[in-house]
Amino acid sequence: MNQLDDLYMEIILDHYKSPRNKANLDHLGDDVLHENPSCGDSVKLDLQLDGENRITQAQFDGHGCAISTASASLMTERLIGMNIAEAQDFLQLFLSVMRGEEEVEKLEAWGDLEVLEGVRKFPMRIKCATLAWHALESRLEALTS
Amino acid sequence: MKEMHLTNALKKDFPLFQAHPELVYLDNAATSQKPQVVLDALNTYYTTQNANVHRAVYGLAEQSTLAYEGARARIANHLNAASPQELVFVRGATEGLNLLAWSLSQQLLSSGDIILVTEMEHHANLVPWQQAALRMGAELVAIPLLPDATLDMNFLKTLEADGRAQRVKICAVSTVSNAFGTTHPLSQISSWCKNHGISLVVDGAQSVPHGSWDVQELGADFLVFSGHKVYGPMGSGVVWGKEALWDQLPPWQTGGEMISRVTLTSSTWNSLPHKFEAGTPDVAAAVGLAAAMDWMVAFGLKHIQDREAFLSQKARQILQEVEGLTLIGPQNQKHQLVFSFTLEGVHSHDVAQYLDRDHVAIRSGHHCAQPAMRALQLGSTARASLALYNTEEDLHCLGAALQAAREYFL
Ligand SMILES: Cc1ncc(COP(=O)(O)O)c(C=O)c1O
Repeated sequence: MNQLDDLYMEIILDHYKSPRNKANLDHLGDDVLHENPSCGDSVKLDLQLDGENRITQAQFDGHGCAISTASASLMTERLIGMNIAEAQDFLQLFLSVMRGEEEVEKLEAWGDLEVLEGVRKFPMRIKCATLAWHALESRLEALTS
Repeated sequence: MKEMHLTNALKKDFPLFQAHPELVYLDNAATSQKPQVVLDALNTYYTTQNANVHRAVYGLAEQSTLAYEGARARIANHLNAASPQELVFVRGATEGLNLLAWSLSQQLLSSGDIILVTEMEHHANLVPWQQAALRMGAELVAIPLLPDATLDMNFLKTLEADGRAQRVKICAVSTVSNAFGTTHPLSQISSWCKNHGISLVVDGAQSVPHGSWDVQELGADFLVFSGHKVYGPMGSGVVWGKEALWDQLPPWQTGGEMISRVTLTSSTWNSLPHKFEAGTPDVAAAVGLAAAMDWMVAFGLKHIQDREAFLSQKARQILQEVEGLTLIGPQNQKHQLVFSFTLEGVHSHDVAQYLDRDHVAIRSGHHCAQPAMRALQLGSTARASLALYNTEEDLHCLGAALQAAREYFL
């Protein structure tokens, strides 16, 4: 039971059952749709910025498993209030932790996000945890180019 | 009770189940486990017969060639083919379908022609045809799916009515959908193709493992399947085709072995089946596949079918009893070995992950059939698929684990 409970921590199940910042983003075209080709899960991400390039709103939409939904939900919660540079650092840190290149403690500052640590023990599921983050990556690229 | 005893004993023939006695393996549509006899055949080949085939004159090379051609002859016999020459060894269904998509379209298609497939094909029986159509300026048309995951056969009438039937030159369909377990009405498709002079390619990846072998009864021009789903080794596979048709086709891959005479500017081709087997083949894979099919015959194809029909019925019954479970696909198909389903409120990945904790191996996702999933507006499904060695006990484990998964996530 232990390993499975490490993956599906209570916080993850909570974010899965009641995702934060989930909205209907049908008005965004399929060009911003990010798909995990190995499973067909998909996510769209929308960011609103203020005059100083701070994220005032972060919303996601899509079909996903508990891990990818909770990851998107936790990510959007943390993004609000960041500027683009901070969001980029945050993104890189998260991806490094998922790749096992950075210690998970580095995520401590981001509160609940640490619960995604358990995913590292399930290599097949890392793609689920990072799906929304790859959507963030291309959103940020679009915003800075 | 007697049957259960029999199949429990069957698992003993499979070393992987000795290594993982707790495993409930229900991903047989992806690949089957291998009986000891197949592993022995591979071992015997490599330890006593290994040499390159067809070229050298020394005794060992002759033995290797005999092993390879012997495997071809045994498989041809099992398939009731007119001659061993009608069988081309390939790496698997994907390679076989690429071969046919290339050679058949080269031979048969002109700009404006149509390749007919179904919306329910595995990507392996879709993408090669789609690319062939693009290459030849032809059109790919798909028989659509109905909401119960069966084919809309009225579509053939539509093709007749609007004149498109005349333009169809190739039809490529599977016998059974790997995504939903639907058995397609092949004899109907076959007679329609005959009436319209269309070459019919059949993807038997999901029916050959269950003993549907007779190519004379099939009513098709070509049959393709993967050996690794038929208890044989990875890297084995077969394309069967009628000799007269093979003869007309240009080769796909070129190189050694498949040639007759080569100059710097031109080449002529070897006879069948070598014309379609460029380079050194996977001899051991062919030998292993023949051993697997021999093993099935020794067990009895009729017995396999009866046993699997029994398992199929049990599986449906057990799945139907799981709360919140929706079976996708035809609801009353008797002999169904692939069951695709959703569990209310639980994503298929999470279902599969939870089941893994209970050592129940099932698949989740789109099953390499994205157009079919889209047609039914499904993001992903969980899929349990059966083989001969599964037991009633396996199915009870599946049912209990699914019930527990639902409780865990709700
Ligand atoms: C219906 C069908 N066709 C083709 C294939 C491709 O087989 P392979 O990956 O062995 O080439 C599969 C495998 O899943 C299948 O189920």
